Amino acid sequence: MVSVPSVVGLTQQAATTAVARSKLRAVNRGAELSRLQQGRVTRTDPSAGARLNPGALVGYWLANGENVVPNLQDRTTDDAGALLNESGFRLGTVVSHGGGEQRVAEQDPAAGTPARLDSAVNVTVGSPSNGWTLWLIFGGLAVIALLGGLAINARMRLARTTAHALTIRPSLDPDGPVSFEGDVTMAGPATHLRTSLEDGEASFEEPGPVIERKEQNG
Amino acid sequence: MADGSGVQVRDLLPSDLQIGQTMKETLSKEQGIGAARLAWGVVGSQAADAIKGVLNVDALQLLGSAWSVAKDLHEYTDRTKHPDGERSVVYLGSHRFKKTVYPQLAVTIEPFKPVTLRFALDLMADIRSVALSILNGRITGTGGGDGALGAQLRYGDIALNKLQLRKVGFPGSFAFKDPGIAIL
Repeated sequence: MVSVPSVVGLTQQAATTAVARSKLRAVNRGAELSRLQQGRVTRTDPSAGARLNPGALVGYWLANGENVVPNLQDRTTDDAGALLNESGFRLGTVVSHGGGEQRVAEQDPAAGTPARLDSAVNVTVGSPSNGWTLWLIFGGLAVIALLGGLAINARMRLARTTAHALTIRPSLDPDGPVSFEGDVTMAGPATHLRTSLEDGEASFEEPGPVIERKEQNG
Repeated sequence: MADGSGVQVRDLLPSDLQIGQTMKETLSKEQGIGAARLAWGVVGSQAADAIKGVLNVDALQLLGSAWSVAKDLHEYTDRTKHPDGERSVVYLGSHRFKKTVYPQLAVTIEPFKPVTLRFALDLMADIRSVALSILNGRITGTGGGDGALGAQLRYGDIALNKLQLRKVGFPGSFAFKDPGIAIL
């Protein structure tokens, strides 16, 4: 029996060499989210220290250069920055609303979404005051009125166009285009999309498909 | 004879595939387009639908083209060992592979010149077992098997969705389009 070596954090080449030195066979099981730098081994199955017969397979996974953005809600800016560093990200723009204790109210990208390592996470800190809440209410009413106006504008545009419209979606930009599903024809700048599919390569994990049984006739 | 595996490649991608931001970043670098006022969210959503449209192919077709380059099957190209008319069924054991295809999206935003975005779609297969029918150096069909499949769309080295494998069973009898897929 031989032990599975500890290869987490190593490059793929260093890891497979270490596994081979232990008289085991390394098998790449794919890439996954991790705090580790892209291309580094994140884990093995079985894990380090497990005892196996020589020649047995040891699966390993590589970091894909992305990690999950942590939840920064209610953390202070310092805490949020430290947590982001631990997860492989950095604190980006900090927008502050109001005084008092500055804690994270919003973040972008949202918690739980995968993002590239070393990318910035922007936060808004501060708790909304009563005055701020009023602004939110008035702002919400203004947005509803704006969207209503846009819908009327969009209907007027639809009446003027001869495009084969299936569904109409008003743009949030008052002067922006109105788009139609189907032929992807848009009033304003006309947008056309054409797609094609090009065949590519296939790569098998060693040892590749093996014929276990065959039958012949004719 | 089944019409297909029942799994289209497009169904392995998430329903809310987001490519608007990628398109915006890429197309905004083009002279003229960068200044155009476009509803990128809508354009991205239409583009995602267009890409899914071109990926409306049976997953087995892509798997078949991957198996056609498997080393163990190469002997079936040798007519001295496997003469014309000989029908064979081979049973492949557990294996894993990645088959890549490249969906291309040509975007024309008038009056600017068209821009082509080349995406890559990795179809990941973790096959437990599969039976393949072979005739005249070609894979003509499958005869049952099962495994797990997943797909990841990329633009350059940016992954546009998270890879998630889903268990699939292959039909007991499935025929590739005549005359089958040539073994290489």
